[in-house]
Amino acid sequence: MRKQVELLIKLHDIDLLIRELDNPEARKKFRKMGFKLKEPSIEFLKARQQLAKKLPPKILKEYERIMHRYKDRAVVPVLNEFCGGCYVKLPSEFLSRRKEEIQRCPNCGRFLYWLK
Amino acid sequence: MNLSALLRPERINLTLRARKKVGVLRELVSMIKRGDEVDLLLATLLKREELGSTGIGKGIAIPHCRSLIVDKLELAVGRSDRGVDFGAIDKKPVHLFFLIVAPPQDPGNQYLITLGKVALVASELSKRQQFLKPKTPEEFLKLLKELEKRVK
Repeated sequence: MRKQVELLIKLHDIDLLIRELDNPEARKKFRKMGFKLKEPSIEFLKARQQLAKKLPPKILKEYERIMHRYKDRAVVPVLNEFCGGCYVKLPSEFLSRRKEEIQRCPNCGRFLYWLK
Repeated sequence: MNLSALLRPERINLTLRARKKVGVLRELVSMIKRGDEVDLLLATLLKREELGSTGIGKGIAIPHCRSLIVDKLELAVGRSDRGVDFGAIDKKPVHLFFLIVAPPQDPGNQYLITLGKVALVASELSKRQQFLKPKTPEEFLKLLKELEKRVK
């Protein structure tokens, strides 16, 4: 997998984790199941920032913007030639460029990746 | 969905070799992913562990996370007869691991429902250390099926 896509996935996974644990309903459920949860430490958040800084500023800015806009996912898988975010069919010439470093859905702008 | 339906024998490893947290997580992840995706998923699981060990006591741990790396809910089970220091709540070694990974969004929030089910069944399995009895993945699945009926 390409480096920048890997970084985006790592960052997105951490943001999902933070978001889920920020949700009081989900926290309550986790506690009920027996999990003890701590608030993310400063080191934890710093590590997230350091990871984010590894991305080119333009991509990071776009990532943050899309995360803010869609509230759920800024990076989505390609599902049978469809964008996994807005479910619009991706143009065929676009699919042949899948090996390029970073791809975005021409419709919703989300970053795309191909699952193995 | 039943856990026994979600789990396949090839996703059950009753002879985990690792003796440390990272190694155990890697063995578990390797049952559901290959290549560079193993490291990506491992990184997220380790981040989750930083927010509190998923070792819930009585020899059980349920490492879990959501990740872009999967497109459906994935479950794997590992057992270490020797036990692993997983930083569990009761500070005791962990013998049985349930790995649960879900995509960022899943229909009906199956992720939390499955986690809840696993926590219930795992608690049954920990009684008299029943989880040590199965000798094969098929036997483990059979026991899981029986316990699922009991906790319903």
